[in-house]
Amino acid sequence: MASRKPIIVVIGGGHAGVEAALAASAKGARSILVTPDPGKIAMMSCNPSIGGIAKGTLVREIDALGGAMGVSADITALQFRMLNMKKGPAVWGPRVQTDVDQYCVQQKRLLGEASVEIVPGIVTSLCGCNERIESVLLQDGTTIKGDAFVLAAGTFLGGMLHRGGRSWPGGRRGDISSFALERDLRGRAFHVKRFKTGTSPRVLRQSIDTSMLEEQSSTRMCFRFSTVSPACISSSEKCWVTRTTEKAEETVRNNLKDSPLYTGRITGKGPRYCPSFEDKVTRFPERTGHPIHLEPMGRRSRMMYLNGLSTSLPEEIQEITVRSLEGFENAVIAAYGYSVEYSFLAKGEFSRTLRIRGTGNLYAAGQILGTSGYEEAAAAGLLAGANAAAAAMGEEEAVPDRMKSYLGVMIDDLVTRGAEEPYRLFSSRAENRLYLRQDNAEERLETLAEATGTRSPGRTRAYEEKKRVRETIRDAMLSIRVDGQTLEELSRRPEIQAEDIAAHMPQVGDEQKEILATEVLDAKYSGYIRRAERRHFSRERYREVSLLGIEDYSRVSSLSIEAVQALNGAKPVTIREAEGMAAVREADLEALILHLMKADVSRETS
Amino acid sequence: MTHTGSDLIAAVATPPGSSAVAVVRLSGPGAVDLVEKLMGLHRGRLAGMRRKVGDFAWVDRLVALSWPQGASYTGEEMVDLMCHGTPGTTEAVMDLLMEGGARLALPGEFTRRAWQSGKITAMDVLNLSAKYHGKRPEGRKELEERLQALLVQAEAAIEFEEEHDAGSADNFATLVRASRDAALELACSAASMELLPRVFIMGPVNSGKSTLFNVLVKEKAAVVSSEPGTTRDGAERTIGIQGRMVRLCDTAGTGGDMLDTEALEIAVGVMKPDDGVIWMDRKQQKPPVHIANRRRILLVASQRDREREEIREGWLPVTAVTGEGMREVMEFLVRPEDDTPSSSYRKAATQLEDARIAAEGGDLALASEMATAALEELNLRLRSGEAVERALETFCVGK
Repeated sequence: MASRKPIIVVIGGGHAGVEAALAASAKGARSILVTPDPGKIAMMSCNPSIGGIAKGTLVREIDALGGAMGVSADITALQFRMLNMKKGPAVWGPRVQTDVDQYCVQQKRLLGEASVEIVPGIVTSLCGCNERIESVLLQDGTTIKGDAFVLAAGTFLGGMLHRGGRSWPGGRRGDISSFALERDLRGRAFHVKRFKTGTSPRVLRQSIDTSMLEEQSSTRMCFRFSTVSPACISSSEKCWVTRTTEKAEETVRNNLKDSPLYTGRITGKGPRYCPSFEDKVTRFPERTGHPIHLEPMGRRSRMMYLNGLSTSLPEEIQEITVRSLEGFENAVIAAYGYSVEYSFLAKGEFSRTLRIRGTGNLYAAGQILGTSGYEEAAAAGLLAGANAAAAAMGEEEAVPDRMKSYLGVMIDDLVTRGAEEPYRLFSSRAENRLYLRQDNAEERLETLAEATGTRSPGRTRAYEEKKRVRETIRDAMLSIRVDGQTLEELSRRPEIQAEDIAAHMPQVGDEQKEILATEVLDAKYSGYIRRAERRHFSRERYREVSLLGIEDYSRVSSLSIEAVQALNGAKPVTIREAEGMAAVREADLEALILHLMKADVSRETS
Repeated sequence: MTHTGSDLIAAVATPPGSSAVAVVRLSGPGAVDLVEKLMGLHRGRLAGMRRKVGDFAWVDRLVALSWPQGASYTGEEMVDLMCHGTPGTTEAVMDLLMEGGARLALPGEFTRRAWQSGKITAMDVLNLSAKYHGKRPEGRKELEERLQALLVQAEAAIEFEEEHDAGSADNFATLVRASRDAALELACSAASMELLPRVFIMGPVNSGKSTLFNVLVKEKAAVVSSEPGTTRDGAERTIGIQGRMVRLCDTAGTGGDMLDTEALEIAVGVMKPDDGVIWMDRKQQKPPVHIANRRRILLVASQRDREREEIREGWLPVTAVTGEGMREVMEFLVRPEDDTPSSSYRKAATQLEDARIAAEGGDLALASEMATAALEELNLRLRSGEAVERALETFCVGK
């Protein structure tokens, strides 16, 4: 028994499930991945791209933790772009267009290498009490026993698809969903809510005339998400941009009565940052010519993805809309857009370790947490898989730090604030944005990588080597002086760039220039980074302080009227609870803390 | 008395050049006396409007309009003299007034006195100042709203500009420039209404108060003419230290080893909560409790060249003649400036200027951080992610 490897059962083979299974394996557990269709493991159900602003940085974080997304995205990339190059290195957003089929093949290959056992099937229920789940029951009657479990069923959890006047159960076009598992969770008294998301129609590549369209150029620079990828990402495929026409907008406007979004059939809340075309036209009637990105689904794929045209209007309306776009006069839709409603766990139902409330060995990752996006799912999957394995092995679970990673920002936001709409990362969600950059992910994630134990020994060795170089460079920057200033001080001047510093450091070779650039940025932003950390820690100190002593919030100075009303109504117990209230803004929280600090002082002096 | 230390000020209140009528305004203690004398009126006869010439005869025939203290615009005794609007005439009238003891008013000084005497509010001053500059008055609230809009623009540009045409780095640069100017303007308006920080030098007799006062005044060159004493036998000077102005008041101490309670009471009576005190005592004895409890106080053990006693905790040894401890004294003198509204607007303006440079240099993420710091300087901040939430409501974004 002592020598038996613990078994981690992962339910769902999407981006969260794959990373969860790999992370558990990396820790030395035996992973079993249950999925309805093994042919669609790591399928990109929506847009064929990985990365973007904040998301691209998250992919580098996944990589720093030993995850697979970065490696596979590098290999299967069709085109690379670095977004925001003119807006500062802290918000550079690396993004690739991906070969969807190849990505599935590649991820499946990695699962094989890690000896993850793939079991086809639909999980209908969990067996055992909440404190200790024993096994899962599949639709065909088989039982899979495990020591810990990760729920990562995505939109398949109680998934319902909608298009036009039609609705049918499903997790994705052509795939069945699991209502039985959703019922089982409700039966275990977990608080489950509904979200909605949608996707765009896909068109046949050869039916479109791209000669008139604006080409979306790739970025010429050597980039790779993963530190272990041998080569720079290649950009061999083209993308285009077109704009919606007035006719398209008119068509949608006249047919809103047939959109399930507007007939009340869909009740789940959808994301504002990824609105349906119906929403765009309705919410911003004064605006026309919404950009539509035309993205290839793969090198050999006949399909193109119409990014920006998410819709659940009836098929014939989708045809008219699409064909009214320039270059799309003869477009053939290969797959129609639709909306999907699914279930997720409400705020408070899981902790920062991603263990579900009141359970001993049940974890969750992906859309079940209320998130949206492949990158968000993969990162959470890695954490949940590592922690499930840790629980099964009797080790301590890992908790990411908000000040050090987007993963930490995301988990903290979900746990303290919860998701009002499908949650995706934005760079501005991070207080410490100038530190959470794509160039320093390994350094930022060092502590977490040790805690999760998911980084391979080989990578750890490579990292240690890099760290030594970094420390040498850092020491040199502190000791070399130019005109009385150290290079570190010089780096803080706004006009000074990494090349200027490199000029004073001939000992830094070309292969070390990247490390130097990171050091220069860290020095440049150090004042702001320290300030963000100081504020965060002073907030942390007050998070659990009781607010019950405050009887009337109108007596707390500098609170906004909305906050006074909300606080008087809700009577939160702690600052942490107040933080989760929508009407309580940042300035209000600071006013509350100031009030508590004053109370502290008067108690001490009296 | 609503104000102390005011002197008699005069200025031509109408624009330069020629006009049918020009107005010369005179305000401060003794304004009515002076005009009565110049017009050849008996004392107390200038009440309301008078037309008599007196000494003014060779200059012009003029009309005087007078207000007693408390009833005028400035709240002080005030006289408006109306004469013909030629440059020669107004100049000659001014000459006579200056000879009679008035000094030329500084720009905005009548309004500042009006505010100091409580005739108008700070908001009135801001609005007036804005009107004079031909702009819609902009207050703190507007600046805050402007800064929030600025941050929403920055976040939209960072998250969505590249792919969704929402938000714009160029718009940010334009907005940040306008916000910086607004902050600077507020800093100027606020500064015009702020009283200069004031520090009283106090302590028992022979503790070296006047020596310290004289050394400071001599070294730091009084930039404004001597003003009548705040305290009996006391003197007050405005001095400049590190580019910042401080009003320094010397209080008299008489009566042997006893404190002159009368002088002290007068001084304490005119002191405001923000005024500082330099308490000097060779013997390092605790000052009276109402002095000791003041917010800004520096305890100075004086005449260290003569005293042998050990320095007690909390006391600063100072020997004005040798310069010992003078650096600390000067630091104490200028310290309060950091907390004034004008200084926080000025800091905000500096941070916004940094933000502009960063944005134009291609680092909008850093610029956004700097604009947040400016917002914070004005005691306001957006919660992380709040700006992007607003951007989502404002712009059409998303795929």
